[in-house]
Amino acid sequence: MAREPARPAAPLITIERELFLRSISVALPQGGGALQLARAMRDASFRAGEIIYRAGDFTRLIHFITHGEVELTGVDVEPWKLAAPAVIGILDVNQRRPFSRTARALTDVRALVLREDDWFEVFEEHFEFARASLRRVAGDVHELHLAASPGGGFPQPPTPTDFDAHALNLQERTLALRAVPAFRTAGIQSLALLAAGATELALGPGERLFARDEPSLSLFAVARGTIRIERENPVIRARFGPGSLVGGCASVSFVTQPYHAEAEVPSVVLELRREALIDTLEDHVEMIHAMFSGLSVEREEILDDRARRARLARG
Amino acid sequence: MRWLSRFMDLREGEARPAIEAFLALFGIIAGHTILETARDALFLSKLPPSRLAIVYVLLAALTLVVTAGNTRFVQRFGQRNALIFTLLAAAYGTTVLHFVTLTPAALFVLYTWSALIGTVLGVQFWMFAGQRFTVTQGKRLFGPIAAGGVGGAVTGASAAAGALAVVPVTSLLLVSAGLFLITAVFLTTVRATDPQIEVAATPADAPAPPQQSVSELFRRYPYLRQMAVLAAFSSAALLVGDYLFKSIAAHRVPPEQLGAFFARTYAVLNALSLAVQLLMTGRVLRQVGVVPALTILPLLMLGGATGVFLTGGVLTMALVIKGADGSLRYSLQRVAGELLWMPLPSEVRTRSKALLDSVFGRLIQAIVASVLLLLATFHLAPPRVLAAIVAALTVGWMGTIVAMRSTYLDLFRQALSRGTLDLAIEAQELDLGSIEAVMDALSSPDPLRVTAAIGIIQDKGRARLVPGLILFHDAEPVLLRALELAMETDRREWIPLMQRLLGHPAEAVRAATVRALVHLGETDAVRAALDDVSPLVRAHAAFNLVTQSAAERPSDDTTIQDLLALDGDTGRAVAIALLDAIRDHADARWADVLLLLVDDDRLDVSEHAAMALATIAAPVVIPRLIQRLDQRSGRDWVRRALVHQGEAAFEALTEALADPATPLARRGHLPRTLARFATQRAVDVLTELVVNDRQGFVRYKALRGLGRLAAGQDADHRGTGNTAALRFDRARISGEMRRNLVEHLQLISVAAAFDQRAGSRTSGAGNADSSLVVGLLGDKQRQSLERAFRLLQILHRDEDIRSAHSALVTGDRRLRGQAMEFLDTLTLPRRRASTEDREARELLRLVADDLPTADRIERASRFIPRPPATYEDALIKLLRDGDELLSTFAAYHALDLGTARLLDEVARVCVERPYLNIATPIGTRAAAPPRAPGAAKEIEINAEAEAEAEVAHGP
Repeated sequence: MAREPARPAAPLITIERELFLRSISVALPQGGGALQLARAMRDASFRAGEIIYRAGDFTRLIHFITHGEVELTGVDVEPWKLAAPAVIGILDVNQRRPFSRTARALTDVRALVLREDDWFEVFEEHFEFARASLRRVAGDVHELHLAASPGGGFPQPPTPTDFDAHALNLQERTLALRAVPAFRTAGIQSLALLAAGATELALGPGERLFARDEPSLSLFAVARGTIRIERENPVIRARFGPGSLVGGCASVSFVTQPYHAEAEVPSVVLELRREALIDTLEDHVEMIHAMFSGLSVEREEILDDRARRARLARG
Repeated sequence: MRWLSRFMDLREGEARPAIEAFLALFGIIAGHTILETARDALFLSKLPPSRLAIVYVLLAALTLVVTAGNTRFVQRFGQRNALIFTLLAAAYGTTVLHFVTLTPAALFVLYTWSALIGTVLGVQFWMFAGQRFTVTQGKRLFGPIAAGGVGGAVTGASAAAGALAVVPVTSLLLVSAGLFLITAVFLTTVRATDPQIEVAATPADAPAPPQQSVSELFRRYPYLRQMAVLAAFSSAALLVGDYLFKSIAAHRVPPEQLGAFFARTYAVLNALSLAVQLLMTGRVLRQVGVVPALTILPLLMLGGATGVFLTGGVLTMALVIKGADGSLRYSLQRVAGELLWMPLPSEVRTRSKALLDSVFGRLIQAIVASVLLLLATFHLAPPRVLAAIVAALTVGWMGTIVAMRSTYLDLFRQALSRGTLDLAIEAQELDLGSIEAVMDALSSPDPLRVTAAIGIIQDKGRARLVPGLILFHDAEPVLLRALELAMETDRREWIPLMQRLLGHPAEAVRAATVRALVHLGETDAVRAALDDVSPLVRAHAAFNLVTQSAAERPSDDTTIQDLLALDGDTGRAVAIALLDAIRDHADARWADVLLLLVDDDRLDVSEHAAMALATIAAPVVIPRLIQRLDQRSGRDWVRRALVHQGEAAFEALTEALADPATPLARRGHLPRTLARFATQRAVDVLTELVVNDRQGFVRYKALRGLGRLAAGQDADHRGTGNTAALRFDRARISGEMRRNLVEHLQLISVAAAFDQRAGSRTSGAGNADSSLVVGLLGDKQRQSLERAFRLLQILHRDEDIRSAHSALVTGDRRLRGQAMEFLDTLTLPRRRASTEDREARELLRLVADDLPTADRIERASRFIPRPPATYEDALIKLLRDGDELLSTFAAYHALDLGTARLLDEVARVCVERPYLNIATPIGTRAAAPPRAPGAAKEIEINAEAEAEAEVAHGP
């Protein structure tokens, strides 16, 4: 169980919380949204060495670390060290699961604690905040991909099966989208809406899907085959199969394409217009949750991969 | 337990705790009744009745001490453990009293002991029950549980009478102790609380409740003060009523018949009480609600008192008073009274209930008894006077109840919104501490912190607090934000400092400075900027100067045309600079340029054009703006621009809605745009759309728009109208809510048929397909419920219906119970409630109640068609459903299952509704020629089907 600190420091007044919220990220809500979040937060403080929460607890709390350093540890995973300003617990909350790691204060820590319900309620009330948050989180994940050169920390795609050439019907499109982590927990109706509005693209081997620096007006979900991406500086080479977005969930943040993408084998891709996706998100808040969940999974995979590689590098 | 469910509304998992509570109360009351019998007989046989007065005083003092101790005790050990301990102590103490010599002092001890035990056990039992059941369960189950008490009293009295025929009175003490012991042992087998409730009651993240004194609690909770007033009026009225009845009986009934008269009367009243308890209490509470149910007893007493007053003391009228008291006090009144405590936080309830129930009650009784004694002593208590007192007290009693309705609701509001956001949050004034914090942030080297502080100060309407020295900050974002602030708040005193920034190395800062200076009227200061090395800065200067000129068509200016002809990043920046200048000056002469640029491929340019359009009044732009709604980017500004055009734009939007040529996608954006006008006409048009539009997508958008209007959200920053004055058509909205609730229940009944199959099937073809159908059914269920609650929110604009909705969809039973009671009380029928209103309320209770699915469907049978009996029937029902998406997915699944009946039905649906496009993709799956991988090929799905799908997909 996450414990209430026994010795709270002087609580932050609402205005200080609001200042903190507004200043840690441009993606966080401004005006009424920031004030709502500030009011919903509680102060907490932890002494160096104290446990903030334990792996397995299911309290659905997000900790905004305002002062100090924390370490997140788990079984068979590399520890993560984070310093203020930082947000912890959010990966688990987004995936609606118990905490996967134990959070411990490395120094004296002060934090603002927010409940999951309040966090998502702000999304519903402030769609632009939700949208900006998605973009921001996706942007962070993209930076992590770039830092994980040359593989980008993307999972390996499944081995392509025999190419099935027929055009996808609505059901198949919907199922193809539901296999994507970013949409896995979305409602069927919103997925069907996206699927119906998607454009199906058939690509032969070596055929280009998009080029680097082109405006990114769409997201691409692989339905069949394999799409390869590459870029230089930093070098990234990765492949995407059915059940993935080309460039990962992070592609939500792209303004221009950061990669060159082409089909490795005969492939079918569903093109989701960014504008249609945003319209769907606005009317189907559960899809926002789904996308945050997908981003959290992706972020976690990269962080674990990075920590693993760091350990290997240390020998 | 099915036999039991026939007599009372008992749900799955409730039988055991309800029976346990019934038996525990039965044992407690039976044991205590036997103890009281022995006590009265022993006391009055050895001491004169006048000694009772001393006992009453002693009791009042001891109750105060014991109650305080009891509260701490219960808090420390929990409701169940405290009750067990008290029962064991009662058994032990009573046994000891059996063995001591009954001296006068021992008799005093016996009397006070039994009275205190009765008080403490009563309080502890109902605390235990309050913890064990939610408020909605309490409404159904407290009646039958309390019947255990009545039954215990009857059984205890009979057992005492029977026992006395064979054993001495003192032996009754041992019988009583034995019953206490048995009850205590029985309670050890009872689970402390329902685990679900326990989890909800003590969430890990809940802040520890601060320890407050009782007086602080009474100050903090007005509801507690009202409870105290209620206790005062009811205790006084019941006591005077009892005295009135007895005094009239003493006058009207011959003394030799008094014993028989009282015996008969009490026997009848006990029977009545039991009947009310078993047959009426639950029903009345569910039909009229907790608070109104409390008015029944005082209302009947008022009737009786009026009768006594008018007739001068007819016994029948006095019997009405006593009859109401005897039949309702320990049944309906007791249960409703216990339920009144339920919305209070557990800690508050524990600490204040004992005080009010025992100490305060006894104090009031003592005072009233003294007054009656005085009146009687001075012969001032004839029946008419007493009847008038009873009448006055019952009026006060009812008045208090009426006043409590809103505070009762308030407590549920608080319980439901606890820990959640205050959506109606309003900007607050900055206090001294806050000002210190933001001023400190303004001097931070961190630009994000400084801009955050500026934002907060501006939001609080205190922009003048930002000092001009902010323009000396190093960071570009801070300077840009400060220059923006200077324009928005007309900071002319900053002009000298701003001029300094014309030489700033950052192009964006120089451009923003030019813009701000022009905005503040300093055109001379920016002429030099026409020679700036940056085309962006030059453009800003040129546009602003041209905009300020008298040219009829400023876009004809050659400098402007040259600048607009630039391409690349510079061209983009220049175009945005022009659009910002037009926006600053709200100049309609630029309409041609705005119309041109609002279609620009560069999204940011197009968005800035929409922003500029939102500042000018030019009817010529209206059709283009409506078309521009198709595009997501800048749509919010396009909506503002349309609102800025006024009535003409509103008319154009309603015409577009009615025009069959309007593209479906655009039609979906029209309702929210209409809502932005925040006028009564907008409300009326949106209501019509919600009720009658042919497209679910548009109906849903209209509902969202209507909801925002009801909440005053759209008008807040538009200033287009006073949304508080808007009137919503209650009848139509209530009817629509009813329709959505019926749809919700209907979907549940269809989904149940799928669930049964899923439960019985281990494997089989088409699992994935059925998951889509089932998932879609789930979506539809959630959406129909969500729509119903959005409509309810419009009907109750000032209530936080959203929290109640959230509480209902969580697995937290206690929160769900509170939400249900809140909604039940909120939707109590008014005087002239229509049948639809009543049905909507009933439907709301059906969907909100904690019921197993089968039970819910059965109870909904009068509102929904007969549920499909088999999986195939359910699938066929969905195939025929008006919702095209549901029908399409059902068809895919039916084809996968491939039974003859299903295939026939799919074929029929495909003929009847060819636009569903079901058969074509499925049918061509095997036969489709392989697509040659080659040049990228777009495979568009049937355009008509896509458009229709959009309609179908509207939530």
